[in-house]
Amino acid sequence: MRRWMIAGVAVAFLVAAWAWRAREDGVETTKPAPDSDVIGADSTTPTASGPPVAARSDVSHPSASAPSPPKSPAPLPPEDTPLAEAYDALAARARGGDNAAAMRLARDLQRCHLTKYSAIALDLAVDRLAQGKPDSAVPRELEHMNSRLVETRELCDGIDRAHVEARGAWILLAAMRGDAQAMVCFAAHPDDFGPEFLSDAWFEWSQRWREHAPALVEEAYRRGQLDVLTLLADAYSGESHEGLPLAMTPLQGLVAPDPARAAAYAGIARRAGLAGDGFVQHFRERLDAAGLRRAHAIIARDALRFTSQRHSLRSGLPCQRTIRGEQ
Amino acid sequence: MNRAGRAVRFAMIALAALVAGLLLYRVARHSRSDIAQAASSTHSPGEPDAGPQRAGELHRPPRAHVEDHASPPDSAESSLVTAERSWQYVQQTQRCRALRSHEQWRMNHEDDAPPSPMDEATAAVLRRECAGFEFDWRRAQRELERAAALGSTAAQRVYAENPGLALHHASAEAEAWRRWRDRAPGYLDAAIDRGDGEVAMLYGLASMRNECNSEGGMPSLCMRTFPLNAILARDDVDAYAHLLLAQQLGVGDFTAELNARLVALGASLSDTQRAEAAARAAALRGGR
Repeated sequence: MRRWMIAGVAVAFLVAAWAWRAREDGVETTKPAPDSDVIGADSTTPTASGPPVAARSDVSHPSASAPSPPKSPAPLPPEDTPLAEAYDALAARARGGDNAAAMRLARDLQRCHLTKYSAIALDLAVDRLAQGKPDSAVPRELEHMNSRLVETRELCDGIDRAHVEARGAWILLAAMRGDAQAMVCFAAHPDDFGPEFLSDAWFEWSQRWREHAPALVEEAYRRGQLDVLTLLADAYSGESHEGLPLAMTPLQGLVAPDPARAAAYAGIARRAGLAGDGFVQHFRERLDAAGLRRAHAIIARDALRFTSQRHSLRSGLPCQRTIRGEQ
Repeated sequence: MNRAGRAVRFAMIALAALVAGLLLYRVARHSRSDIAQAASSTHSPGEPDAGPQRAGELHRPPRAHVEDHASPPDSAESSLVTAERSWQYVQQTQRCRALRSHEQWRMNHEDDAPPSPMDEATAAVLRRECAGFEFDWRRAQRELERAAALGSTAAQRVYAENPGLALHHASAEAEAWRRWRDRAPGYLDAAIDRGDGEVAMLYGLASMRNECNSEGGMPSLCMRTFPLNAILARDDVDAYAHLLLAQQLGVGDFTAELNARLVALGASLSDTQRAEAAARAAALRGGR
């Protein structure tokens, strides 16, 4: 009889463990759906006039339940086509699964967002030149700034603030549908594309970022997206100065410090031609022998994913160039 | 026992085990959700929920007394002691930071450079105090928030102006920013109610529709309007009212700047708006 009772208790624990495990698996594979208020019923069918916000697909398998991008998408409108003309068509294509259209919208709306800063920069440059400051811009540079500003104003004429505020939603949509560049943009720089800082919408946006960024950045890594490497190296370094985080991405706040992983990502970045020896050395110096072995093991396992893209970096990292507006 | 009897007994035990297992699972699940709920709670112990903000509205809660935002203490005395201890740590951080700025100034400037704002006697005292002091800005930020929540008016004034959070990590620390957004206006109001003209001026500058800028080389508070200008409603009449109030309360070294701002902002308002602002300033002052 005692033997039966022991067996019964053991079975009870097995059943409990099985149920527990099954629930955990469910948590992992059923990501919480982003707030659908802004977007309507489903991110893959956003509201007719408004921007999308997020997809409902599983982040780990972004393409599993979302429409695939068209095999041969139609060319995008020419650069600097006013958004008043192009917005509806681009938005329709983006909602229909065209990630290139979504990212083009995000980039153009980001230019609209930056207009006021460009105007301030131009004013300051003009003032400095007028005051004869030694490091003033030369007139030709001012002309270039001015013509760029005029182009951007024409691009953005007729586009209201709500559309500009929602620019990041297009990046998130493309990211959730499997665009690796969008994944990195969203994970690395959420505040560059988010709604007005500290508004209610910004808090919702930040919440979505915290929910999705870790999985998206992992997926971008799995796909060998180059610009994820320095991002991950910084984030996993866990470095801080006098208690303040050093990485310029908030992703550091979401991952546990792991110097060996950071060094591995730095090493892969160097092999891919993305970083120099100094960058790698900085991370290696913090490792003991075991950490170095682990870093080398990660490099050996993962480096091949990235080397095939070696030459795509000549004109800058995709997110920086196309979305953040860095030259 | 025959074979059939053993089978029946086995079936009964298996059924009991299944029920027990599911019960265990339920208990475990509930305790886990409790833990998750506790972990996701963003409030300080005893902190009241600020409640949802209305969408589309700028984020200034109604005027509230500081007590509304502070944690109800277990005992008022111990709460004040804790607040004072936290505030002392923040002050020490500030003093040691000032010393470090002074030392850097000495290193970077020749003897004929204008003197550092800190005199050598003060620096000598601080060198003793700050020997071995390790800067930990995160801890300082937490202590500042705690001291403010526990009722230190000095901490509230500093915290309200700037929570000391790393801006480039804002999304990762959104809940700390949310607490600041929800508490800062109440702390500002309380400081103004106590007659703090500099806070009234800061409030006015951060509320202007156009960004405050430092043209003219004035000793400017503009640099201090961020991040307040992200949470205060932009309203030139309200801004003008607070600048008028600041003028009445006095702002010391900032008097010239304040007067210039009043002239510039006043010129952009109609007579009616200026009169309305004056009435608001009087009401604000009358509320003290």
